[in-house]
Formats: sequence, C-alpha cells, structure tokens
Amino acid sequence: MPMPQPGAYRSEPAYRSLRGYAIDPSLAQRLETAPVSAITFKVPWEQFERPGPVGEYLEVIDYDPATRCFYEAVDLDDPQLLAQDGLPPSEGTPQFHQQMVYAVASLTIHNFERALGRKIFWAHGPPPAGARAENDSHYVQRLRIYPHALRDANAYYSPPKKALLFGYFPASTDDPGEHLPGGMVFTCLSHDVVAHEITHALLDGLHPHFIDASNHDVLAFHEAFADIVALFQHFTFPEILRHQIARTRGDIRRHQSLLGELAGEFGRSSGMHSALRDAIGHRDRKTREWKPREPDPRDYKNLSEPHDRGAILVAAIFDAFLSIYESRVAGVLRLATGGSGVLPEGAIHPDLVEQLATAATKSASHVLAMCVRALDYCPPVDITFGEYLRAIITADCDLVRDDDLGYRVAFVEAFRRRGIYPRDLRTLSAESLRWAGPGNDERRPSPKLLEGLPSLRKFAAEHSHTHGRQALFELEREMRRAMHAWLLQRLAGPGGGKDAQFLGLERGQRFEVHALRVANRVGPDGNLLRQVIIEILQSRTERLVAGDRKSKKIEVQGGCTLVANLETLQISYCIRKSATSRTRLERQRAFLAGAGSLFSTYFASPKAKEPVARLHRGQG
Amino acid sequence: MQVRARMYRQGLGDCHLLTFGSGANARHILIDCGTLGSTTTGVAMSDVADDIAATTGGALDLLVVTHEHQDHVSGFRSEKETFADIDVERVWMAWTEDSSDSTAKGLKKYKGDLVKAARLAAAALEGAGGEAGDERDDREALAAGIRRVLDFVGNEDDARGKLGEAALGAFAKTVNEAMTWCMRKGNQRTEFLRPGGKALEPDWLPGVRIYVLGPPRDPKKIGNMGEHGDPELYELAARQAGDLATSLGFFGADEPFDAFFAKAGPEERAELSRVIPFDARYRIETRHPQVRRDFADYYSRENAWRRIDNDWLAGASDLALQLDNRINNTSLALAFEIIADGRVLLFPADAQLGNWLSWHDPGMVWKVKKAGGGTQEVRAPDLLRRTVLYKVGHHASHNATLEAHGLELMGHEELMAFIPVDRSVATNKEWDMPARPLFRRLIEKTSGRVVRSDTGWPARRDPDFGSLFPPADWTRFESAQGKAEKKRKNKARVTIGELHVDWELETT
Repeated sequence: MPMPQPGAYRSEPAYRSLRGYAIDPSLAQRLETAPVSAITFKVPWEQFERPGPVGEYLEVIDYDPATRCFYEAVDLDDPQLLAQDGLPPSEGTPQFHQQMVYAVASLTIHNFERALGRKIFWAHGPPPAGARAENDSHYVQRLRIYPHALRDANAYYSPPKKALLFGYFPASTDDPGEHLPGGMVFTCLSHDVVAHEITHALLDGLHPHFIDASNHDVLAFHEAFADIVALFQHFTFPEILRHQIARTRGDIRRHQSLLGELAGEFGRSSGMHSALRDAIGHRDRKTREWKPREPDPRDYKNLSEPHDRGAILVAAIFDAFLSIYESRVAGVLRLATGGSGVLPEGAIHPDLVEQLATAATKSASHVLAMCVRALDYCPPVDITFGEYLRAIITADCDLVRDDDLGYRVAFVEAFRRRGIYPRDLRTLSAESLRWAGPGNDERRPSPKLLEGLPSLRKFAAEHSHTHGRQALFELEREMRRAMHAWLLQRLAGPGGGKDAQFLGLERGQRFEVHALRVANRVGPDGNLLRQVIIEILQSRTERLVAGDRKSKKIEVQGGCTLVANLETLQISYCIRKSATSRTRLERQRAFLAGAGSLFSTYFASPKAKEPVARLHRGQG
Repeated sequence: MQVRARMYRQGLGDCHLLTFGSGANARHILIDCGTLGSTTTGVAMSDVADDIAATTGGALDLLVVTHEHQDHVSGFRSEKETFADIDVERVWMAWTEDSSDSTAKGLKKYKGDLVKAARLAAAALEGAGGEAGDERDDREALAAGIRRVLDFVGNEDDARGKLGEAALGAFAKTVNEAMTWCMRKGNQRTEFLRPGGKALEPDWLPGVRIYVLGPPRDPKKIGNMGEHGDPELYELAARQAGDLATSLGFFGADEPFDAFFAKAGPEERAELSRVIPFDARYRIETRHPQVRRDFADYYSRENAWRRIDNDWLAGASDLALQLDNRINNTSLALAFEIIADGRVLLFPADAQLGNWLSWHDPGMVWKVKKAGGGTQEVRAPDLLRRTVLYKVGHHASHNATLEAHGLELMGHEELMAFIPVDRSVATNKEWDMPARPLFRRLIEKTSGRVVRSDTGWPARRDPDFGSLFPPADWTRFESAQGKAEKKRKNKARVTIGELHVDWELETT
C-alpha cells in the first residue's frame, strides 16, 4: 500500500493577490475616487528566487543612489504578507513601492504575453568580453527594476542596462490638487507610468531597432504603444471599470473618466504624459469643463514632437476601441431603454453597468490583442504609423476571416480621421491596407528561396517542445545562425540577385538574421495559424548631406520581415524596407537634418545611449 | 544716410559697433563686448577696445548689453581702463536685469539655483567611480561638458576663490562685475526694455526706428517650455533646481545621513527632510556591511554593466542646458530699421527658440507713423522680410536661429549675415559652431555673403565646409562676395579687415 504523500492536497496557486494603487496615490485624496483608489492586483503566481522580489522575469533592486542608501527588499512570501494580500498601499514605505512596481510590471507582462501568444524575451545584453559588437548571445533573464533610481520627475527604460529607472521628486508646494503640498511624488507608484515603462522594455525586446529614430514616427510609436498598453490595462480592473462606467453612464466617449485618461492628475504634476491627456479630451482653460477632442486630419502632418505625435496614434486606437465598444453595447442599451437607446436621467441599473463593463473589457482586450499581434507584421526598422495600421489590418485578416463586428473598419476609420495614411496607398480600405502577399507583390522570390521553408517546420516542432525561456532563446539563436548560413549561400547562388531584391537587401553586403520567431495563434473560429516570423537586417553608413563627405555619418538600415505560413509553406508577406532605396535615404536625411537641440550643440556623444530617458526629458 | 555695422574679430563672442550718420552727426551704438577666447585671428580684446575708443572719439550714444554671458560682457571688465575713458550717454538692458521687476527677480533666483545644482552635479560626476568599461568615459565627458557650458557664466574657481563656497550659486564675479559696471556706466539711468509696445524713435537717433523683439515677458517662453508649458510645471521646475542642490549637497558630503543631519543647522535640516524620500529608519547606508551581502547581485562583477550609481546625475546636463538656454533667452533682441527705405538690421543676440517664437505672439504689433501720414502696423514677419543684415544668433549654433518663422522669412535680395564665432575655440570645447545645416542654409539664403569673424567669407577651400556645395555654386557665391566688396550705389559694401569686418551702406 503506498504511503500517503504529505502535502498532496496542495497545489500551486494560479494567482498571487497584491494590493496596490489602482491608478496612482492621488485617487485616494479625492472623495469621489477614494473607494476605488486601492485595488487588488491578481498577478500570475511564481516562485521567487529571493526577496526583491526576484522572479522569472523581474528583479526589483531598491537602491537610491541620490541619497546613498538601499531599502530592505520585500519578501512577498512571508506568511504575514501572504495572509493580507501584501502590504497595504502606503507612500511612506519603500517595501510597498517594491510590491507595487512588481505587481504592475508582472501584470503588464502577463497581458502582453497573452495577447502575443508566446513567451517574451528582454533584449539581449552586451556582448561577452572579446566578442564583436553585434554578438547577441547574452541572454538576459530578468529586467531590473529600480523603484528609486532618480531624483527627478522622470522614469525611463534603459536599453543598455535592461532596467527600468523610476524617479521621485517633491510635489509643487502650491499645488491645490491631490498631493500633499511639498510631499514626495513617486513615479513608481503610478500604475500608468510603470505599465508605460515596462512596455518600452517589452517592445525593445521584440523590436530593438524601434529606438533608432529614422523618421518622425519611430520614437512616437514607442511612446504611443507604451501608452496604449497602459491605457487598455485600466479595463482589466473590474473595480475601476464598474465605478467609471456607472459614473459616465456608459458613455466613455463624451465624458471624462479614468478609463480614457493616462497618468491624469499625476502626470500633470510631473510633466510626463501631458500630451495624452489632451489627445482624448481636455479641460477648457477658462470654463474648466472637459471636452472630448475632435480629430483633426492635419495633426499627423503638422505635429512632430514625439509625444504630440504619439498622442495622435493613441487617440486613433482609442477611437477605434470606442467605436467597437459602442457597437457592442448598442443592443443592450436598446433593450434597457425600451428601444430608444436614450438613457433616462440619473444613475443606471447595476445590471446594465455589469453588461456595459463586460462589453468594455471584451472590446479592450480584443483591441489590445490586435495592437500587440500587429508587432509581428511590422517592418524591422523605420516604422511609420501608416505601416502599423497595415500591420494591424493584415494580422487581423489572417486570423479573423470574417470581420462581422466591423473591427477593421473601425480602425481604418479612426486612422483616416486623423490623416494617418500609409505613404504609398491611394485608397484606404481594409483590403487595400493588407500587406502585399504572393498574389500581388511586385517582387517575387525564386523557387529556390521557398525551398528553405520546410526546414522551418523542424524548427517549429523543436520549438514547441522546448521549455524554459533561456532554452528557447538559445534555440532561436541557433536557428538564426543556420538560416543566415543558408541565405548567404542562396544569395550568392543563381537567382540570388532576384532574391536579394525580394528581401530588400543589397547583394554581396553583410546582413543579419535579426529575429526568428514561431507564432501559434488561435482564431475566434478555433482555426490555428502557425507562422514563423523572420527579420532580416542590413545596415549601411551614409553621409547626412548627400555628396558632403564632411557631414555627419548616419546609419541607414533596411531589410524585411518575412511572415511564413508553416501549413502552406508559403511566404505570406515580405514586409520590406529596402536597404537600397534612395527615396527612403532622402527622407531619413531630411528628418535627421531637422532634428537636433541645444543638447546636440554642447554634448556630442554621451547619453545617446539612453534614448527613452532623453525622450521623456524632452531632449528628443 | 550712412550706416555702418562693424563686427569685431575677437573670437568666440559678440562685439558690434553700429554707426548711423557721419561726421559730427555720427551716432555710435555698441552692442556687447565679450569673448571666450580667440585662437584663429589672434585679435586681442585691448585692440578692440582701443578701436572703439578711436572710432567713436571716446563717446558712445548708446551701450546695449544683451545678456549676462561671459562671451558678451567679458570685455567691459578686462578692458575697464579703456572703457573708463569712454563716455556713455545711455545704457539699455533687457527687463530681465531689472532688480525692481518681480518676475525678473524670480528668474534670477531660479538661475542661481541652476548654477549651484549644475556645479554640484559636475563635482559629483567627477568624484564618482566604480563603473564598468566605457561608462567612465561617458561620465567624465558629461562632467566636462557641464563645466564648459558653465564657462558662459564665468568659471567656478573665480566664484569660489573670491567669495568662498557660499558663492557656488552665484555667477562668477567677472560676469557680475561687468553687468554692474555697465548698469552704472551711463550718464542717464539705465533703461530696461520690454518687448512690443511702441517702436522706438529716439530723437538722438534721427532716421532710425528700433523694435524691441525680446526677451518675452512670459517666464515659460524664457524656459522654452513650448505649448505644453503649464504654469504649475514652471513653478515645479524652479523649485526642483533648489531641492536638487540640497540633495546634491548631502550626496557630495559622502557621510551617513545621521551624521550629516546632526551637523546641519535647523534650516538645513528642514530642507534636508524635505528632499529625503523616506523616514531615516528605512535607510541601509551603502557603507553598511549588510549591503554587500544582501545586495551582492548589485555589486557583482558580472552585473557591473547594470549599475545605476551615476544615472541620476546624467539629468544634470539638463541643468546646465536649462541654465544656458534661459540666459540666452533673456537676450535683448533688437531690430534697427532705416526709416527712409525700410531696411532692417537684426541683432537678436543669443535668443533661443522661446525668444524668437514670442516675436510672433498675437500681441506683438508695432504701430508706426507712415511717411505720408497715418499709421501702419508692423509685425515680426515684416521685419524679417526686410532684414538686410542678420547678426546670426548664438554663434550660429543649431538652435538659435528659428527656421520657418525666422530664417526662412528673411528673403531680401540684399540679405547678408555676420557670424561672430571662433570655430577652433568652439571645437576645442566640442561645441558645434557654426552648425553645419544652419551654415549651409545661411550661405544659400545670402548667396555666399555670410561673414564669419574668424575666417571671413565661406570658401571652397575651407577644409570643413568646402564640401557643402559643388564647384558651380561656389563660383556663384564668389562672384556675389566679390560684388559685395565693391562700392555700389545704394548697396552695402563689406570690408574684411584684420581687426573687424565692416558692412557699410549709404542710402540714397
């Protein structure tokens, strides 16, 4: 007779509950929002390696260099903390700050992975000693989070250190608003700031070249994307959602709410994210009344500062979400109003709140999934908003055949209203926006190139049986190396010129297989989409001014993103940024010639390494 | 009327002498007199001062001191003896120098805090260490960069040596002395000018109208805070400079908090408590033995690349930039109009974007009398369009000439430009002056008629800039430059001498 196993009745919990500020500490100071100011985050359970917390993805280190001290690391596994969902929210306890950044960061990673359909990786670390600069073998398991790294109204993701640095600063003494006059404001206590910064890191892990500003949209895209993820996360908090739905009577579009606002009051006192506040709606300076912002088709043409520009994209995507939400709730509203769709005065029924909240959560998670999925359909460098729209539409077409709920139309409409068009398209429809596939791409690969695809099946099979992020990282790297060797041969062989053209490469020049990822996605009809995404990059040095050999050197990058279907063994799309394109070179030159700041007059080189820090300080 | 604009060639700095009329009727206006050094021309400041005395016969009708930067005022101190013998009738400065103006006082306090914080930050960066690889170079470069920007307000030794540590927040004595000396120099009381209002038609300067374009009255614009500049943010930024200085003071002392606190006076304690984020009982001092054990990962050698010891100081470059930007934006920007034909000579000093942009504010309309009677409204674009001589702002750095609402509006066929600069001095400091794209556009806009105080006309043989244009363009520019050097009816003539460059016009 087998012995009973001690502890057999236990199983690992799915979630860890941690208390935190819903948006930021300022909500607790307002009577209206005080009841929902603190919420309980449900973050995926994990075994910590040590206090910090230090887990699978994250490593919180509470070092405060400006005041030369450390703060003790919180042990979230301490029974005293487990029994009460972690520490209660408190601005004055550094250990709660550690808990808060950990909770929001974990949650954001979780939501991102869910939308992406696979595990995420941080960007690789610096090359091992003695290796070449482009060596990317350094696996970085954990992103570091320093909750009190800066004594500044700033927070940023540091690409070279793979770390988030959060700042703190004394609030304005004469601020009549939410903060204790002269009290300290901590950026790490703002859900929106934390979610925003970690999204920069997530995006960098996927697209490390999206911090190389080669046109007005690149950095703006980074900002906007970070805001989008933070914004849609609001819809995953039922307490906030129900409260705000009830308050706006379900009309999120025409009323100010925490749902359509990012780092609202908090952002104002720090100067961060103020543009976004204006993007969705703004308070009239004189009447103090909040008004939704009307989209202006000239904005995309006229605004160039990354935050202003990013706000256009955020507004477009939020607009698409609102249209989707409104069409989803139209039926419920008709039911609740005897067909008129016009709600009577006063508070709405809790059941209706529940229905509307469910619809909002669903719409938000769908829109976020579309936005994240599209990242696999973006060119590897030099992204523009128009191309991102094409990526969203294409990714969605691939997975969701029938757009019966009009999601794609909502997106196209929202972008059109803000004047965001892809450069080379004459008409704007879901069909024309879809990236060119084998049927309508003007460049074709040689049959020999397609012969390389079956080997990817083996890779995909191995990939699906590999566990652990590091093993996957190593496997992908090995495959990239194999793919590079194979391509090198292919491009040198017969028909190689044609294939180089197809891939947007200059034949005979060095190139890198920058990424190779397996994506398995399940559509709403239960259909399975098995794809491999391959990014190929080439880089060339040019002069800022054509023909002026004394002018600054600039790096021009090109290449493509290949989306290959593992079922049909076809290249579904080759999303090209041709390395040899003259027009693109000229556009990049014009953009870089216009860039610059007082900073660039006095400081030639250092700090160029911290693009996000500079962006957030407005030195872009 | 005869008009002469003279640019002295004393290196990286501004000194311009304007003369309207001739003989007994000549009126002399000196705009600034300073330098950060000259290596290209070797012109000494004393030669400049002597020439000013000789040319003006020892009498200036007006002295304009545009802003408190070494490269604009150093000469008033170094050549005090010569200037003492020059009679100055009146002195103009920007409203920002007016100690009875409360906005100006606020700006001064802010600037003082910035100087102090920037100096402490540079010292902290210099004293730091322990980082991996090339980060040391970055840190040292950053510290050196901040020091060099601080040169504009005078160097620290000068401040520290004479006034002690307490002077960290003060401008160096050199700059202060020069400003004060100028303020007291005029026979009449110094006038502090505000932008807009009426165009000035001083009776001592017949035939000339003067427009005060800047500095703007709005402190936000002086900080270049742009559209999103919120008054609250401005307050916050102003306070932060002071708080940061306190914080840096503690950091620089390199002592445990308790010990530092115990020594501090009551006022310092209050300030200190305000800038420390948490109650002291939460602190684990970095020197505590527990740290190396509990935070071994932070200090481990293989993770050295992820340390953040000095990152918080990287923002300090902002302080220096903010400071420089703010002071440059307090530049008294003037446009001189020759009433008879409407030609304009534009002297924006070192105005940065915030100052330039403010010229276009809706309220900036000047009502002037028309020749045939009646009045006429003048706005900044009119003045820019009629500009025939542009003294390029801030030694032709990238950000001190507004593009769309500045240079691109200057379309007069006679447009010429003066760039007071010494490229080799700037290059030694790793500053980009003249900025390549701007210099290129200036050459285009003026058909090659841009005179640099260090090297004169731009030329195809120039090792740095020769490659800016193909030979055919250079040929065209050379021909335009050749014409500009000849005497022609109702056209300006440029004479490039060893000590100065003259732009002379005799209107008919």
